[in-house]
Amino acid sequence: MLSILDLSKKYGKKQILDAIQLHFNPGEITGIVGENGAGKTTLFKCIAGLESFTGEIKYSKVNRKNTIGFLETNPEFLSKITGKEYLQLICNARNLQQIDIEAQNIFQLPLQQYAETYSTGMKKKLALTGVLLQSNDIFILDEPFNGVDIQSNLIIKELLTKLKQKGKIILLSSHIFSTLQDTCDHLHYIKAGKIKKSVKKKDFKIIENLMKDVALDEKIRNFNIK
Amino acid sequence: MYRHIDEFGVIPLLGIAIIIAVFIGVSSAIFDNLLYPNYCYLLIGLGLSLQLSTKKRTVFLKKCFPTQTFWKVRILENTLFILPFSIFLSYKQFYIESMLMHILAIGISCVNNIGIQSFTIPTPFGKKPFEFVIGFRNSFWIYILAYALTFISVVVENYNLGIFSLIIVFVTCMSYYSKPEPLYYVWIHTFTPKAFLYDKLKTAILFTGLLALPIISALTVGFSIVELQFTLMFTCIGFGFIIVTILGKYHNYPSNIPLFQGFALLVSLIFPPLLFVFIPIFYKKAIKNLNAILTC
Repeated sequence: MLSILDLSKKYGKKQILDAIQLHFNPGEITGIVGENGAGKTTLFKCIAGLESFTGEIKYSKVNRKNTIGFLETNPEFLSKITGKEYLQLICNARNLQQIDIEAQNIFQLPLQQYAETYSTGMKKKLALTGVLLQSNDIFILDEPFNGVDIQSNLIIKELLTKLKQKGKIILLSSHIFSTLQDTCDHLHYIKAGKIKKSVKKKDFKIIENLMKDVALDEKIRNFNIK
Repeated sequence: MYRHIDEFGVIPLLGIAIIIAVFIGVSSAIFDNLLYPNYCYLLIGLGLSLQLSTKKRTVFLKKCFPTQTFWKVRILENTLFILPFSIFLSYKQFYIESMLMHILAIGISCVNNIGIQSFTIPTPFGKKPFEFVIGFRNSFWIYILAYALTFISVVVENYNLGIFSLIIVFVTCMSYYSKPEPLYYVWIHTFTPKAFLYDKLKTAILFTGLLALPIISALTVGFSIVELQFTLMFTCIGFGFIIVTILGKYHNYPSNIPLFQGFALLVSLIFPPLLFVFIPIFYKKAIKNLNAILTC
């Protein structure tokens, strides 16, 4: 089990995350939703250990960081490095020997090409392949469906189901509500750095309506279209 | 350039003075040591000007300026970039080459798609990304030049030229560690900070050694035992600089302002035994920095 206790984060005087309390169980997929800038990515980075924070994160295994696979919203690729070399780097970093990278190319990416020449969706798929190759116990996927074609979306959904069956802890964010409905067991709605609502699968509609209210009522009404 | 020097942590005026001094020093060395230095110098200047032609950069300029202004900007920046080279050529009384350089620089302003290539340059370092993989693809031509210089040095029995080519290889390899990688690329490692640094150093020493080996071998075979001692001395100092560059990078990581490293490299260049002082200092701080990233 992965538990987040009273996690807070500030950038200078600005409070980004405020006393977050969350628990994630193995074999469950948890979705984090919220507007842009609500604090989803910062929360993910804190859990991964890429950002400092106050509070505590408890995990049943010894080293949390080394069991986390983190898919960034916009994966950054170094120039003049091929897809295969990127995956090799990922495997080397985790000391994984004898992995047949070509055979693990689930999205059929052109691995001999420079990763920087890939489209947005292809970059996402390459980064996701890297995360999957690492055999992690915890998966933090920041908008895994963003920019990815329909066929690959189906593959990702299927992969998430398999990871769930294997007892992995999966956290993901998405701005496409239907993908969360299809995949997640729990949903947390984050607003201005605070968890405003947490629901189980049967109550996802509550969060969807909550988000619609925020988006439609407050903003559209106030926006003066000429 | 002013901003880059400032970010580097050096007083801009001092930085510009250093750059001018280094430029004059390197230019003089080329004219003193190379065959047909005027043509080599012309090619080096034009080759370097190609860095202004990268696709990412020119696409940005195209977005900023209307077409006509874009071409004016490209011609102007290439002309300004090449100016110090053409002035030096004129100083050396190669007036035709100086003019030719400007004409070719204007021609090069039409090249606007360098950088993102569909053709993948092969590299022998693919099993151990990333520094040497990327670095080799960016600078493979420097090795061709360095090996050619070594060959010439043996043929014309000019040992200094051979050592110059060895220094080129070491400086090129050092440059692969000049920029800090994104945090994610350090974070993904499961190693302890000590193991992480050891792996980086081992890879750098092995691959630099491989790239320098043809030059060291040629200088060993082509020159006497007395000169071999100098070759070994320069090789050891070169490895020392590689080590200090890597440790210096993580000493300051993830910051990109290498003030202390720059100072350390500069004074070590004047008095190389100081490397033994800087290596442990950098190592300790690098371990501390990496500890915050690699263990949580």
